[in-house]
Amino acid sequence: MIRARHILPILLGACILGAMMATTPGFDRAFRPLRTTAPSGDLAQGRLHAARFAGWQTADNIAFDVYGAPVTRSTQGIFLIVDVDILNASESIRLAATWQGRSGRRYVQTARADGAPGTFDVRQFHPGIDDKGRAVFELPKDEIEGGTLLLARKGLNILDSELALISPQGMPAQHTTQLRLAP
Amino acid sequence: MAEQQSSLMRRTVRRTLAASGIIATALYTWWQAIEGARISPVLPETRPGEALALGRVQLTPLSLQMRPVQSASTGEKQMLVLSAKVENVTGETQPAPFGYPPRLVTVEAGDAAFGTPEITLLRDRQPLRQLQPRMPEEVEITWHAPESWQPEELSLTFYRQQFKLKDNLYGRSNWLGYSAVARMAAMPEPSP
Amino acid sequence: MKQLRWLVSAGALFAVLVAVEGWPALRDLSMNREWRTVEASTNGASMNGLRLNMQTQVAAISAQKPDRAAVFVRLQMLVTPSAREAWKDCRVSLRGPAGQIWMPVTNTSADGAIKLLSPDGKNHGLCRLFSRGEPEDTETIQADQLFLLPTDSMQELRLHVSGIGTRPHTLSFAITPTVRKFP
Repeated sequence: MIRARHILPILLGACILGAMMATTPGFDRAFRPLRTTAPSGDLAQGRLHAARFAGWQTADNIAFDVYGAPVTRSTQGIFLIVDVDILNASESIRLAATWQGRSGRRYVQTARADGAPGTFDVRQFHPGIDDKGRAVFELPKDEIEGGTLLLARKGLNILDSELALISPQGMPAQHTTQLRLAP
Repeated sequence: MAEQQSSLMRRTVRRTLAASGIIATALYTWWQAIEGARISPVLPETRPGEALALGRVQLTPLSLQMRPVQSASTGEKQMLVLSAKVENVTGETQPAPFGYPPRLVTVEAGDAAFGTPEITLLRDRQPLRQLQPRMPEEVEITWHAPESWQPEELSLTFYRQQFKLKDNLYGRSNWLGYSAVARMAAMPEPSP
Repeated sequence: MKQLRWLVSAGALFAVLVAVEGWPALRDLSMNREWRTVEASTNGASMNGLRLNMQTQVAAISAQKPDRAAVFVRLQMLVTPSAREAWKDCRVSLRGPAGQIWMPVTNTSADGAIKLLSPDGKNHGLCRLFSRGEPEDTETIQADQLFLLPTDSMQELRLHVSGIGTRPHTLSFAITPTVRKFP
């Protein structure tokens, strides 16, 4: 005869197992960068460096020199140029910048601006030397407002720190048709 | 007699129940084989101008041309140029050439082997390095035509890469294998 | 008593499991970190078959930016094929007293600075000990490194030189660069 005291442990076990399975974090949630958020103007401290949102502007086209030759880049969206202060580095580090737009989409720093002076692709940040970095993004205009700048170490960055710098309210005040990126 | 028959019945029922798993598997496999043979695998044909969903990007082939290219070392060579519009439909910046090992479009033209193509961004006239989400770009996908190949009707096959939110190994989101999604038969036009 | 024995054996096996699972991770980490420093004299030191000595150490301070110093270090190494195999690669870094790590500058601007500061006006490139495949003989190579530091961190600097095959052991040289001021 099947009694309640036979079924109850099985039922209880099934419930506990179901609860554990439902609440286990997935691989992607467990193995991701450790994010430190800072509102606009505040310093975000990571494991190897700290950063602060310094300024931003937009442009329709950008121009810079690559090995002495002038280069112009146009886009169907808009270029967003963000300046960041990098401080308190404890190791010589190379950074990569990503813009997380309002919709949640991530825009990695555009490779079309590689070689422009001051961008993160060639910049190295050393301990004791506070420096400025510049990130150039190419994105649709509606992804700028309400977005966040994500700064992380260049390369694989699974369980290392990631700094999220929230942008100021609204859109950047400065907009130029053609911005010249000078050192 | 009745007892033996009923016990035989009971025995048969019990054995069928025990073997039901294997029977179900065998029946299902057989049915899948029949279904597979019934619907012959033929790729849908596509024409220039139709958008194709290829996993990471949405590709719209525009035109196919043969373009002669002058090279100082090897003389005049022919290049097969597919101009297309690509749009990144994922939520992240995708590095070109969209997946590893790269397989976006392949060319079948008899026995001729065309190799891996290069993707050029027409806006800058330089190799495409990444594609940003919601920013469609016009690109040219170029192959070096093999030596002494005459322009003839060829077919392009477009591949889609499968994305799984939780894969079977770690439960992580991952881009998996490729499957052919469409075919385009075209005659390359001589470039003006 | 019987339960206690079971518990103890379970605990011991658990410890063994943790050790077995953690051993590859620990070994990976020890190939990357420099935990054991070996004091070395700038006149000459050797480890795992490689003989090194420091040929030049110069710090350049520009009057336009007096808070930064570019430290140039040239190492001379006597490389035998067995040393190359033992070391496998070479990593040179400057360590500060507070745990800061400076890695060599790898931008194109470092090339000009190295040629200016080196005694023979040439840039021999970073320290490289990869085996190139074909059989090699013993050779003497030079490695040039340029570091960017704040001027007030130039005390108690140590230069660490190590390779994949030698880590966690590393050679540690005391650095006292001669300062050269530039207008």
